[in-house]
Amino acid sequence: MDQVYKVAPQLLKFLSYLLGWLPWIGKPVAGFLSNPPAWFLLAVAIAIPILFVVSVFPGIFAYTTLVERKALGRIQNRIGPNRVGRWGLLQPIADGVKLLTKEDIVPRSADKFVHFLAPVIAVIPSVLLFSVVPVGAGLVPVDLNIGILFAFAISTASVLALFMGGWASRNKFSLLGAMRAVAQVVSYEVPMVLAAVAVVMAAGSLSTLAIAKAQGGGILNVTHWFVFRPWGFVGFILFTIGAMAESARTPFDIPEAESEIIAGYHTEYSGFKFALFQLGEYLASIAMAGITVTMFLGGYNGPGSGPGILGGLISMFWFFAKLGGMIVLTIWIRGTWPRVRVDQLMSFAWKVLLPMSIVNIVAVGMWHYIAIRPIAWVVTTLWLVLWFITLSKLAASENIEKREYRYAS
Amino acid sequence: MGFIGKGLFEGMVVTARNFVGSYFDKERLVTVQYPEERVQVPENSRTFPFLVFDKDSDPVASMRCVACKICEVECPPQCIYIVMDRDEKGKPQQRPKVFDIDISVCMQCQICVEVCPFDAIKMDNNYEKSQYGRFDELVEHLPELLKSNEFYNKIKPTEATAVDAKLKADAEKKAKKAAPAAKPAATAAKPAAPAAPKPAPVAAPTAKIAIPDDAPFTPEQRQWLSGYLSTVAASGVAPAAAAPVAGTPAAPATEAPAGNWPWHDPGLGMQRRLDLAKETPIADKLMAAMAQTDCHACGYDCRGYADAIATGAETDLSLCLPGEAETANMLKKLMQEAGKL
Ligand code: SF4
Ligand code: SF4
Repeated sequence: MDQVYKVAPQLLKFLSYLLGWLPWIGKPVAGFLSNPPAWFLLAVAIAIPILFVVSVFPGIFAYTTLVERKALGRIQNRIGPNRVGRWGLLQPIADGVKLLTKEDIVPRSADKFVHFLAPVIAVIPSVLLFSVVPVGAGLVPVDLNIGILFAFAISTASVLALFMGGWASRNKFSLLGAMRAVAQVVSYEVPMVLAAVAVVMAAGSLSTLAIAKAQGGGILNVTHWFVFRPWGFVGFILFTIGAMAESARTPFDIPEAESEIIAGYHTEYSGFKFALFQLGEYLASIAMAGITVTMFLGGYNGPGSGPGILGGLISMFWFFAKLGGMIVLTIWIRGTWPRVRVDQLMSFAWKVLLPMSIVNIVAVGMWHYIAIRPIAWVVTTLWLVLWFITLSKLAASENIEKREYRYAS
Repeated sequence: MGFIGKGLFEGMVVTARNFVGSYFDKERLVTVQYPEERVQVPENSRTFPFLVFDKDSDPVASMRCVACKICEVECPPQCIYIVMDRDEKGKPQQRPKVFDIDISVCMQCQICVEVCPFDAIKMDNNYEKSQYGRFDELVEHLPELLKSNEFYNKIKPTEATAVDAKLKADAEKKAKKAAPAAKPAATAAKPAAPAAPKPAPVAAPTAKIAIPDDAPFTPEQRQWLSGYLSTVAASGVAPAAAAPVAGTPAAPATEAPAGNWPWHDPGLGMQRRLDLAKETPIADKLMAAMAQTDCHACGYDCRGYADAIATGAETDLSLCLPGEAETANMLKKLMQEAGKL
């Protein structure tokens, strides 16, 4: 926003130059724009990021669904949507029209108000998440000095919507899905935050912009990305797993496991309310991908990124390229891995992810205090690898009885 | 030993291979984009029956079906409905006027095809039969059912070739058989398709009275009258009445064409037919017991089968398929009555 505030007068000048040619209103409007009062500048500076977030990310959502369907199709050796427009490019629009024209069904015994409110609330936290995601060098809607904290607080709020929806539907499947969602989000929040703590320690700031900035420099703006540190690599994996669980993506989609509980918390939703749930879920998943990129994959840093118009554009390109990469990765994972069981989900979070994230925090501490880099590399890597092997052994040694199938052969 | 999650990465490799492969490997991408592309259905696949005709110029006249109704009787779910065609005199035309198949009922069992003695009905393999309604729209009528023999050859070449060969052989055999028989009868027995005119009967029936074509009667009246008059004439009561009733100068009553038997009408019941043939020789009585469809299922037409039984050339009394048990029993009874069994 600060950046936008700085460039807003030039933008308005340009606009006034364009509008000056219009008859009648052209002159006064151009005069107003070329010499705007302070409140107007502020309004513009606020409006532009909002418009950006509200228009770009839902657009990304729409085409993510298309890419997802196409990619899943190809993974399963199908073609995927290709009927609406060339390569199915208009499919998201067709989907939207379809969902808008569908009947909106509210169960008779549902709590009507909460049932109505839930999808709305599902979208709000997801959109708010984008307010702390820097999309380019210095380009962040709001540069909060507690950006990461804000992101976690907000993203957890979305589980409220899931539970509201599940509870208000008065449907056992909805309720089961909602309970699963709460259990899952609460348990994965812990390793996720702890994984983020490692990054915060290394960057020395909670501000997303500062974290992204800390990963600049090095060869081609690449080598200082946190993912290229032993602890950053582990943290990246931990955080990605947590983020996927948080946004209920496969293999952690048990809140809406269609083979077990129909559609989970949105079983009783149809039409555009259903679409809002989808929107919220996808936006949250995209935002979490954005935060992952910011924290581990160097944010907007990449070859050529930097301050100034050109550097800013290049940095935006890098950010969105990485975001796309993360989205593709989640789709790829969705197309490959089976859904975990509820008990596996829980034991994985508490027995593997949580210890590993604590170990990771220790690794950052070592990295910080061992001044000689090669030694720090060797020590932290060894530390993490040894712990990983130990935890794997522990998790695997869990005495799994071989099941005797008496009736099935 | 691997590490935790090794299988997960192997899975990712597999899906990645599928993803990339589906763009380059036609074998992988098996989708057929239906309205634009279609898979070739196997030759022996089948959907619903259709009726075969031989000549494109006149599908109705050249259709092989003789309306014998065997398929109608045999069809397990009873989805075939046949009405035999008649000319304006009420004479059966040996082809259906109405032939309906309700494809919403048809279970595609192919039994109609198997029982048809004329290779007239065959299974189609067109699976695009959806309609906008559930009732009349799903009943196929004669015009839709009629398909040419070329079409049959196209969709099922092997089967159709065999059928064609068999039909040709049958026709030749028949021509050979008919040739000696035709000489004494002095009528031109045309060796032709199954629907060829009946060869002259061996045992000449008693003189029949023909109602002239232009007499002012409806087919039903004509039929009744001719049957009545024949009975009267046969029993010798008021033989002179025949000519006056006909009411036309020089009515060609003596020219009774072969096949002018009043009971020879599949529309009549068994009892009625036997009544009409009451005073006639045994061969005619036997004929009256047939189903009158001239379906040739027995290897003869109705006349020929009756004569063959009467002369002892044929001993199997259960050959009349459309007549079913009723005919078989009646034939047995008649033969016993005549003391021939
Ligand atoms: S069995 Fe054959 S000839 Fe007889 S009515 Fe059926 S289709 Fe026609
Ligand atoms: S296929 Fe079977 S069910 Fe269908 S018309 Fe023929 S005999 Fe009847």
